[in-house]
Amino acid sequence: MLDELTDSSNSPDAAWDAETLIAEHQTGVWRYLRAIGCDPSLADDLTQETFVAVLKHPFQNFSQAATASYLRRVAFHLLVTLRRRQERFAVTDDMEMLDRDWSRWAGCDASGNEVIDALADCFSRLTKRAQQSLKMRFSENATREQIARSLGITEHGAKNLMQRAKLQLRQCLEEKTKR
Amino acid sequence: MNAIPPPVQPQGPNDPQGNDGDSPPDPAMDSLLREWLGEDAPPNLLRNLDAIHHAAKNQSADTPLFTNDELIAAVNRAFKDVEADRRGKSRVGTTLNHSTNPLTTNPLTRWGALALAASLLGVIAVYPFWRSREAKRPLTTQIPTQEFPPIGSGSESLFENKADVAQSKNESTPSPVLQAKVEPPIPPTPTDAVAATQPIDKSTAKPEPKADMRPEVIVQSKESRPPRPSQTDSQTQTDSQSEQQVVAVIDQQLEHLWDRLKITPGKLTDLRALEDRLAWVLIGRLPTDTEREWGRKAGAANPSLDASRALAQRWIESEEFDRHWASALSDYYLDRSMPIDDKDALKVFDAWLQQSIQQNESLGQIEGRLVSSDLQGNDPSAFWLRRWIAAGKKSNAKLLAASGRSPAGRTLDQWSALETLALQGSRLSGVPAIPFSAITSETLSTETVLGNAAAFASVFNPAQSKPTDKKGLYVSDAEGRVTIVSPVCPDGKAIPNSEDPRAGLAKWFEDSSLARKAMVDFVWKRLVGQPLVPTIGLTDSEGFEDRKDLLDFLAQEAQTQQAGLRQIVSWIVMSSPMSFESRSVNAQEFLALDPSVLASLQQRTRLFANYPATTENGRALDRLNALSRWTKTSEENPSSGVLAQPATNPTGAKNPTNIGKQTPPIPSDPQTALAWTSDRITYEISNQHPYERINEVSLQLAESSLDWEAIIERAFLACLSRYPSAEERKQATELLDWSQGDRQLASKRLVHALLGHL
Repeated sequence: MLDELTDSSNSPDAAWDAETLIAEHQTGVWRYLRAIGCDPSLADDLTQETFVAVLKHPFQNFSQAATASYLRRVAFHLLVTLRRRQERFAVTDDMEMLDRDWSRWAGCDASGNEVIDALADCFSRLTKRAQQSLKMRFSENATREQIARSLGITEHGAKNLMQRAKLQLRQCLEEKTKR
Repeated sequence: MNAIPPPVQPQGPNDPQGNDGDSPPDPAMDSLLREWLGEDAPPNLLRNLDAIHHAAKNQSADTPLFTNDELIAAVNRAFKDVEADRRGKSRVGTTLNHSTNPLTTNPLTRWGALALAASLLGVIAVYPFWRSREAKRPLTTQIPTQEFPPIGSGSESLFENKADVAQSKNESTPSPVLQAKVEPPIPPTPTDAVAATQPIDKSTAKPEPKADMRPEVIVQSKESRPPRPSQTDSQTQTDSQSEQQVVAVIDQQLEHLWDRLKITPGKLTDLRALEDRLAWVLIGRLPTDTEREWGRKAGAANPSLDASRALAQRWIESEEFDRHWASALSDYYLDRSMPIDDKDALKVFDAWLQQSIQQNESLGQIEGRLVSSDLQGNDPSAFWLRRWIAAGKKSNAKLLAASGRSPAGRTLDQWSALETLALQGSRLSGVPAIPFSAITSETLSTETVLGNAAAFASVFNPAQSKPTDKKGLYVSDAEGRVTIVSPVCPDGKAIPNSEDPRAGLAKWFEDSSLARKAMVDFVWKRLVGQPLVPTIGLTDSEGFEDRKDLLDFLAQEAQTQQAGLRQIVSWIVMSSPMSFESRSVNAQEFLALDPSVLASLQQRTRLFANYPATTENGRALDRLNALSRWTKTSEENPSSGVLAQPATNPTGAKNPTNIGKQTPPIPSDPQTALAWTSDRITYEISNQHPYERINEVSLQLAESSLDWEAIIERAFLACLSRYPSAEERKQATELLDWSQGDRQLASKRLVHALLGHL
């Protein structure tokens, strides 16, 4: 399929524009890279590098889903190569699983906005305490000790609370993005 | 075979994925949560579109994503690992070589290895046509991308606690500002009495009646001032109210000044430029995008909250502020115009200052401890004293004498040139310039002039006899006359505690509004760009009296409230001068205007904050480019212009957020130094130890082939981003005479005078 996507002889009428490609897919590629374990700055670099790599070659935009899939594959292999050069293979081991997770969640959605919307809905279904713990953790960078103190529980309790909350979010997300 | 490092697992709260340490990592969920709840955001690559096109074009279309060898080697390694696992042996590939075999203990790892092998096979199948070359290429193209650093220092983040944001919002609610009119606004102080005796340069002052010239100064009455923080139940609330009252007084005082001078100051409407200015002066660097975003969110969340002010408040509370201002104070106290060899002692001194600022010690306490030397261990006070002895200034000698630690019987060097300039500045302005480093001879008393040095040596030869009957310090002046210095306070009065002059002097520094006045003026200059009461060229038509009153008021307020540096900075930053539009004469104006009009314009320019804007819209760059063009054509040497370089950001990034994090080397080539932009020089000034660096620039200026007039012009451009007025040019020209034609010395004096160091 990717061969077809990169073959300019197919579908010559398919209009292609680099600016449009980047505008439509940069968010999705970045979120994908974040989802498979990149930190923000690395995700920035690799998102950009993905488009540089793609723009080197003739490219036909068959469909949003096909293009998104192709871009994710390029981004994935750029990350694999980088990790290999850094000799950080253990992190790479889980990348395929993470890749499948994200592909399942995002599906045809090039930007991943639907995943974010689903997450927002799932988050609202959590208990107030679970919401507060995650907000403190991810919005305010609070430590587990601070979260525990704020909620009046032990550190271990805070850890369990966040783990359960994330598990519930994941299950909810799976359910909502089931296609 | 190389040992493979253990897998990198997210650790703690600083992990970008946000994993909480020992729970199973879930990067997908964590990244989603961090984006949705936190500050992470996708980049906008459209800004780099041209660069991406360029990078893609420069890389051959035939260049494969992966070379053939890389793929084959990776697959072989994976196959070997899988085979080894099947046989129950340790791995033979380079992928995983731990003492315990992860393949046998971790099913996820085993699955991952298989998946990796499968994926790599897929790569071979998917990209067969990319196998034509084996040339390696860099993985990432160096194109500037969006930055996501934490705000403040490495361990600090503005987003640490949203409760702080809420608190700052609550604090922003306006409180009733005292409007009582009191005359005289501030009780006369000993300084006023001294100042009144000083000759004032009235040559350019307009002969207007004083009653008409000076508005009623609006200050809060003594009775209505808030009690000291320690005397209140709610210290935070009182501090906030107190700050708002002081800020209101500053604003009202300046408003009256504008009215009287019939000037309508322009407000800086560009929020980004205002943020740049605040960050420059508070923490010595430009704000990051994250910080700007935080400010906008804070402003959007609460319309009554000024976004830039909220940012400024957070910066003032940050560790970066402590570090930046400790460096500034260090320069101030140690007189960094001289090189410092003892770097270790300097570090201790800076650290001590930083700790003092961090603990909100009052400036009186800091200076008192500096004098009294009651510190333990690596004593910053002793280091400070050694600096003063090494400086060999008469003023220092007097201070040493006053501190009771003078090396009696010895002579120090002759009059300091800087001291002379400070003295001259005091005469011109009518106000004693009393920064800590420039206590003038007029504020200290001297006693007997004993005659020439030879006579002195014959009478008081330390090797033969000890001048035990004459306590104090002996100095010789430029003509060889020897003077004995008696211990007195800097204001010329006797030391309160004659039994222990050191403790008495420390008490004087703690209690003196004169010392506070010097510090307030120093802080004002650092923040607004020029001293509140400059020592050179200020006339009454520029609001000399009003500004002097304001300085007196702030000094007294600092003394009354036992204010620390943080508090004084906060007063000034929150007042109106920080948000005035910069007003500098551009090249066209400079060439077109009549000198008298230009002089008048320059007088008014003094009333405004004077920092070069560093905005993205190019407004400041336009101005700099215009100046550089003029400089180039006038000098017939394109490389000699102070403003000849296009930008300080070599990477071409639109937002040079790393400008405050780097320490560019000082160029040894004078022409290169002259080519610095004013942005760059502002950075140098704002960064650590500015005086040391600016001193090097001044020396390089002096060593250039420029004539003295051109050096004056460049010094003004470099230090104040504007041209000198006629009066300033005249005074600066006299510096060369005072320095007996020594360009190097005169250049140093000039630059330090312009920086308000005197």
